[in-house]
Amino acid sequence: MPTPLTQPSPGFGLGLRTSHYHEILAAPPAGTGIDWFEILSENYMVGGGKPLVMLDRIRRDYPMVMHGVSLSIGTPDGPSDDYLRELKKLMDRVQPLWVSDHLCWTGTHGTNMHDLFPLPYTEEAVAAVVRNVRRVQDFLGRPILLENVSSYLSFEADTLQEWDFVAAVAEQSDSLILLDVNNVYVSSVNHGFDPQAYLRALPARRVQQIHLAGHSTQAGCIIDTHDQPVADPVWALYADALRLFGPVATMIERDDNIPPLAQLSAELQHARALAASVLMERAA
Amino acid sequence: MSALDTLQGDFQSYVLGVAGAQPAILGAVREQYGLKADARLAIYYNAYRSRLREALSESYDKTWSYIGDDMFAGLADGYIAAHPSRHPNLRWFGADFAAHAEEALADYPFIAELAGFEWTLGLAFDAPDAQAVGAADLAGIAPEAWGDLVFGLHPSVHLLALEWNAVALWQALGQGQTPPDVERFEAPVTWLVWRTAEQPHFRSLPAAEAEALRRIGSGASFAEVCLAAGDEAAPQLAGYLQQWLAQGVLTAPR
Repeated sequence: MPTPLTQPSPGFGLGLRTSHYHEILAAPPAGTGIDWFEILSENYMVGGGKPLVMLDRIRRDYPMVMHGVSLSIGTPDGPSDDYLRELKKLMDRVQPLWVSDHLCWTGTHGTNMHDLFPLPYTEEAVAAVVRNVRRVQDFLGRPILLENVSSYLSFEADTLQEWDFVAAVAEQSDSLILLDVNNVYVSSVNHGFDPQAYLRALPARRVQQIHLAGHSTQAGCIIDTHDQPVADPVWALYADALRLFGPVATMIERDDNIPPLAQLSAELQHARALAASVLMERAA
Repeated sequence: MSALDTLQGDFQSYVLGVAGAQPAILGAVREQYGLKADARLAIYYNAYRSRLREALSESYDKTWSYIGDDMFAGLADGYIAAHPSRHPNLRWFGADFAAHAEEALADYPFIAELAGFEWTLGLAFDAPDAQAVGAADLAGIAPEAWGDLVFGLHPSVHLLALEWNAVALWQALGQGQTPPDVERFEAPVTWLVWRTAEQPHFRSLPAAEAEALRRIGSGASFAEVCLAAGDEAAPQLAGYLQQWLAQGVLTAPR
């Protein structure tokens, strides 16, 4: 078995959201059922004030990971130096377990579209991403995780399957994978592929973190909306992922229609219980 | 230009709504089962607008309440079309919205003022941290040394001159009350906006106090501020200073 390149799993986490600050601080850390938090890096790339006060206060009690949305690793010019400096500054403050962003592009020629646009799955795009990832990893002095995004279209130019693209980027740039199980499911429906084949194609020793989230069904497409509880087929696919990858740090993302912390924590305990039973089965 | 660069340029132009941009990107998108390529592209086109509208609604929620859904949507769409984001952080997307409103709704200047006030509260909220100076910090300074002191304004401090009762509109909207009739002041009123205890605060300033703070903000020493205010204003100025020190408006003198 190849040596894992990942850190041991810190357990089960949630995305840190402003509407939960008070509930988080009001409970002893051992009583929330949450092992760690994922922050949206850009939300804390501000001068000061309450965002950073709350960040520091909650960081004292919980390990954190950083998750960005504006790296635009798939734009040929790559991330801007200014953005990387801001990211590094925040990283020095938070001392996160790891830093992640998305395997996508978010804008080109200086414009930020604030969306996660799909890349064409070509050798040219692999090369561009790999070049950018190396530069980022050199700058930050650590490997980064890239998350597979959900997509609603594919390009004529594609010469690779998405899963081969994800695997190629990770191997060639020596980076790690943030596997969004919901995104695999969403894209499998939108493009009609087998999500199991996707999971089997990934290098297991590079899967550092898993995202779970809810989605919405619209005419002809599933949209990755993060405004619903995790759906049953996504739970099933999560179990399959654990069978393949073993214990992987798992978190639930909720960005809209955000329920009280206790309700999200209850959903997280479902992930914990499911993981325990799958991993016990796997060990037997 | 690489194939990747061309594809991204075409995709972005389409999503931005550049005239005539659709055919190029449509030719690059694969037809798939279930949903036509143009409908797949439209998901990105629509999501872009709805995400940015939502960002503006959050930054300008009182302006939105005040002018209503339709007028706000029109204003937001005009802004989105004219101001593609150049910043990695969505937090800054709305930075020029009040200026846009001033131009787009020139007949209703109080709307731009309301938007400007909201944005300024946001600026105060997450401005850089700095240690505010209090009266106790200055206790040891000899009277004759006071003239040379050059205070700084706390980084969260903004002085906003408003011609209309935009702040009263904001307050009524915040309390869920019917906003008062709009009213234009005889002379612009300067509002001090700053952060204390992690929250933005604001108050209106007498003209002399506003002038003194502006001078401090441009680096004047305390003697220069007093001189500009005139001898008869000295007691008043002492009162202002006490308040600034009590409210965390100033940073330590150099």
